Order: sequence, then structure tokens, then C-alpha cells
Amino acid sequence: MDRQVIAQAILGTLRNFDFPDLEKVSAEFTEETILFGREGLLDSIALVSFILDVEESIRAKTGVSITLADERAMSQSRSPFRRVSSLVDYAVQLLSEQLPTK
Amino acid sequence: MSDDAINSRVMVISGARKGIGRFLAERYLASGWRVMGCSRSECDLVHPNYRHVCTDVADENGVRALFSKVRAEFGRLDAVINNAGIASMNHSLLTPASTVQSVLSTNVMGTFLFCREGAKLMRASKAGRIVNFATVATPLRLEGEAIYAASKAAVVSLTQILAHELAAMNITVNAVGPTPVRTDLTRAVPSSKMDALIARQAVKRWGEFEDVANVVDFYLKPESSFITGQVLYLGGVS
Ligand SMILES: NC(=O)c1ccc[n+]([C@@H]2O[C@H](COP(=O)([O-])OP(=O)(O)OC[C@H]3O[C@@H](n4cnc5c(N)ncnc54)[C@H](OP(=O)(O)O)[C@@H]3O)[C@@H](O)[C@H]2O)c1
Repeated sequence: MDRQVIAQAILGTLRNFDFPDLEKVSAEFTEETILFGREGLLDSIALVSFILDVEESIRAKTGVSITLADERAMSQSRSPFRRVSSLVDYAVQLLSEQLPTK
Repeated sequence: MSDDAINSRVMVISGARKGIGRFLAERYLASGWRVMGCSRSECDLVHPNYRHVCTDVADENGVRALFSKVRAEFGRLDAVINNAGIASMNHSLLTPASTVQSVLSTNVMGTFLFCREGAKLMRASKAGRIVNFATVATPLRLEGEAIYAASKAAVVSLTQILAHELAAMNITVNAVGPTPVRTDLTRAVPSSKMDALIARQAVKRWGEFEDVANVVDFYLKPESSFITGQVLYLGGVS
């Protein structure tokens, strides 16, 4: 799976996201943007909506349904939801596990 | 489909093949809703605004496919009626584990999966409604219904906690707790048992389909956006 495609899907979702707290939102989102935790853009309720939006946009782009907030994600010491980059990595990993290797 | 039908509200009803679910499906179709029903076996309900999926409510992939079909065919979702349910009446010491498994899987897992997948779709509607099915067997502590009552106690907990979790998405989650109503679910129970049960209600009569529908109507009303996490038992049981 092309990492760039997933990064664009996640950044696109972020740009269209309906943020509860608009003050925190900058015009530019990059892979370094902090999503969740200290200085993160999202509180825990917004994170749930955001993850669902990301799952939907990945399904629309790739035709594959993945569950981002599975037990593995929740139990990692470094949360995949911390930054855009870590979320992209995690989604790519889940997708590569689901898609047959060519 | 006319413009009206395209704009009309969309509901998913589990267990729409017969009994209370069938009554509700026909009733809401008649008042202009578009309805997606499901049951394990084929359903003979035919209506231009009705679609049916054969799936077990506890089958995660089947439930996902059902909600994908709602998205594809109707493009929106406004309400989920978690009506599918099974009962088992037996003394606990005579109840096999396989019965416990199937009651919990239909009543608890099924209700959970429909809440989860339904809420994902209803996030967009800004006024979603989930109605779950409880039973008076739980508050009446009915002997012989330990597993059934326990499964519906779990449905009550789900209802109350999901009400909190989904409030931010403008989705209400409530439950109706019917008294005995004449359907296949109660047919097998000896009438002396039913009479004794009904005698414990404040209003001592069988429930009718309309009694259940009245509560569902209330939860679905746009004016009920401030009503969530509630369980309304019929017949004066509390
Ligand atoms: N009738 C009562 O006295 C009474 C009292 C209190 C509460 N309730 C509750 O009211 C609800 C409806 O009961 P009812 O009396 O109408 O029952 P019913 O006449 O037995 O109908 C049950 C419906 O659910 C479907 N169903 C059952 N298990 C399913 C599964 N695993 N997956 C998908 N569909 C399933 C059945 O179709 P298939 O068999 O084709 O799957 C049928 O359409 C239940 O939740 C019940 O607990 C009923």
C-alpha cells in the first residue's frame, strides 16, 4: 500500500474535520501535527469521530475496511493516535496485514 | 421512487419477519419511513420502501454488510430499532450452556453490533434514534427466566451507557420494556405462568403491539431529543 495515498487520506480527513475547538486549529496540517494527548487537536470524543472518519475515507480510497482502534492500538505504549505520522504508519501496517502480498 | 420517498426518514428494524418487529415495520412503512429489516430466515413483507437482509444479528460481517446496504440504497439513517430477541424459559439448573450462549449472542451481541454500526451511520443525521428492547422479566426477577432477564439487563446497561457516549453525536438511546405480548415468543409458555406474571403488573392485561409502538413513537419524535438513557416498562412495572 502506497504510504502517500494513506497520508493524503488522513490529512484530507483532518482538513474537513468539524473541530469542536476551532481556536486550536492551524491552517496547515502536516505529518508532524499532534492529534491527541498533550497539545493535541482532539479531545477524546473528537478522537472517536476522527477515527471513524479516517476509517471511512480509507475504505473509500482503498475498498478495505480496517479497524484502527483495536486492542493492539490501545495497548501500545506509544499511541498510534499521537501524530498524523504515527497514525499513517499504523494504518499502512493494518492495511498491509489485510491485503494479500503481491 | 418519488421525491418524498427519497427524502423520507430511514429506519433499520432487526427481527422484522414476524411478531412485534413485523408490526413496527408495517406501521412505519405506512407512515412514510423507508425500512431495512433483517431476520435469519426469509421474510415475505413486500413494500416499495422495504428492503430485507437475511443475517443473524450477532454475525459481525453480516451486520456490517446490512449497514453498507443502508448506506448504498438509502444514503442516510435516522433510527435503529433493536427488536430481534430470543427467550429461554427454564430453571437455571436445567439450562444448557449452549442456550446461554445463543440468548446472550442474539440479545446482547446483536443489540451491541446494531448500536455500533447504526451510530456510525447516524453520526451524519444530527438527530439519530436508537430504541432497544428490554423486558419486564428483569425488574420482576422472574423465576425461570434468569438468562433471558440477565441478557436484557445487559441491554439496559448498554442503553444507559451508550446514551452518554452517543449524546455528543446527537443520538438518543432508549429502551422499551414490554409486558407479555401474544407472539411466538410467549406461545410456548403455559397460560398459568402467564396469568401469574400478568397479575404482578399494575395494569393486569396482556400488552398489545400498539402499546409497544406507542413508546417507540415517543422516542422517535423530534421533540424527544432531550430523552435518552431511559427504560420505559409497560403495564406499570418498575
Ligand atoms: N412478546 C413478548 O411477550 C415480549 C415481552 C417482552 C419483551 N419482548 C421483546 O420484544 C422483542 C420482539 O419479540 P417478539 O415477541 O416479537 O418475538 P418473535 O415473535 O419471536 O420474533 C422475533 C423476531 O426476531 C428475529 N430474530 C430472532 N433471533 C434473531 C437473530 N439471532 N438474528 C436475526 N433475527 C433474529 C426473528 O426472525 P428469524 O427467526 O427469522 O430470525 C423474528 O423476526 C424481543 O427483543 C423480545 O425479547 C417480547
